[in-house]
Amino acid sequence: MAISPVARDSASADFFDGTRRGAFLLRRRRSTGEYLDPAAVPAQSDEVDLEYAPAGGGARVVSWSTLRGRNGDTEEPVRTVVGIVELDEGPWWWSQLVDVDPDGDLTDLRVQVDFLASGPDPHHEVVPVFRPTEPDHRR
Amino acid sequence: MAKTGDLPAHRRAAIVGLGLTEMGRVYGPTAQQFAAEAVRRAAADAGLELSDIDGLLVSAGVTNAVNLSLQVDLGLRDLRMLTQLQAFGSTAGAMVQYAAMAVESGMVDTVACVFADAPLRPGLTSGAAYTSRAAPRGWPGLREASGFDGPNTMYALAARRHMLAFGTTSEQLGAIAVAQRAWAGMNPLAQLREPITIADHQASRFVVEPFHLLDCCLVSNGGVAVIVTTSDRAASRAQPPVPVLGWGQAHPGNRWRRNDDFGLVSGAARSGPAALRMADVAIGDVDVVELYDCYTYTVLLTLEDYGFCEKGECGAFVSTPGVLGPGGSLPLNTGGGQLSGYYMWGMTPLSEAVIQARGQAGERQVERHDVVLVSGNGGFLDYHSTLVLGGGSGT
Repeated sequence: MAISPVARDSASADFFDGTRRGAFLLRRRRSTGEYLDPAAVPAQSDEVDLEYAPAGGGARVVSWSTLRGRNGDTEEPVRTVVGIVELDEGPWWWSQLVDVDPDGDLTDLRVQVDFLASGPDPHHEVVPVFRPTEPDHRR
Repeated sequence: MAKTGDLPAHRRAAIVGLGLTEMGRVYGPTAQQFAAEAVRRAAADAGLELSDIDGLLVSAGVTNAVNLSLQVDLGLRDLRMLTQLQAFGSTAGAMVQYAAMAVESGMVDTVACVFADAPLRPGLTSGAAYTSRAAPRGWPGLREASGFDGPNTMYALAARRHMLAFGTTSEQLGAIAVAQRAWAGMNPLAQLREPITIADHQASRFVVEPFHLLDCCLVSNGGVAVIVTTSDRAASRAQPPVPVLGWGQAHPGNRWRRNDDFGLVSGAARSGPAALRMADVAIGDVDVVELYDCYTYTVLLTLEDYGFCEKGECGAFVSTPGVLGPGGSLPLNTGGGQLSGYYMWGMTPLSEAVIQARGQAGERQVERHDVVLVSGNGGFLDYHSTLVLGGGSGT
């Protein structure tokens, strides 16, 4: 099951600007240095404490599941692994896990962000996925 | 928090009417028509005229096709309370809670609470009915594009986490499905009544690993309504009143954010004890348990959070012979639940709770039914409601 096309909206525009240049942007509090989910919004419209900051891209798998589907062109069965990853900066992220063994134990697997085009058209955004950094867990 | 016993007896809220339409793959009526019929049946069940209703709480399902115009469809004039509520699977319990507060305060006398939905269409699979149809834009679009297009995936991730943390197995989840199917075999309203085994559970196809098909709830068209009034009015009605003894809600607020409790602890851990305190009963006093069971795993987690067993031990608990199923020590989801009975969101456990509390469940009736515990769960373990209802076994 491939990534399906997604387009930006005003709330996600800065994030997708980042993915197009290979950056995974998080929100960060200037006052404390705390990293937040990229979808976090300021508590007040004029708040300037939140800034965008690039994540290092490293993470570990918190949980995972395998989706069953079919290839749209060939009708061949396809298994897609999705998961929750804990970014090294702290926030969690929900993402496809690519190049992993769908029958493997992915507990605490170290992964690294990569970026894939979600579709063929110019307005189809680039989305983050995660790949294992440990060769033993690769498919 | 006040206890319901602090109120004068005549002011305490009770459920006096229950209306269920045809449910399942029933095509033709719209969701709003199902809702209207459910309210008519609930009023008739209570021995009330529609004109006796002065409050209406409306809850729509995934199609969001029931709204405030239901008042007009039913010809209800001069209502003193009218609201549409949405807390997903916790809504049914929440509606009864708000209705109870409204009648106990004297704001209204008689409130109808109704849920209806009609997501199934001829030729459409149950799974397709609940797959996201949102436009693939922004944050929701990014999640959908990445494979998170419905509740199956999120609950599968939660269940996997419980398995990793506590060693819970698929076979233990299967024990819940098998027990509930055995109860469904005695429920004429249940959509699936053929007995199943653990082997059947394991052999059923994977929907989203680790969930097999038999871990997942049904999808149904239909409607359910209940009527809430004060105990003094309830005493003269056609059905045995079901007192609303206690209630609680808990909504953790971590949706799509880091949540170290994800899959391990839900809002039930706060909502359940609050409801029991309000009812002035302990978990050991509960006779019948009707839990929201969108998945087998949801039942397991809620049992733990309510305190029927220690955290992390529910897999062993539910698979111990003699605990679940007809004749077991824990009468749980006695109508088959959403897994085998019918899927009316939180109205599934609530309707069976009312039937059991009244002592009207026929061959599946639980002998002792003085205290009935009901859960509602919505979102991806994001919203939770609990009700404690009274029964009348007199034992």
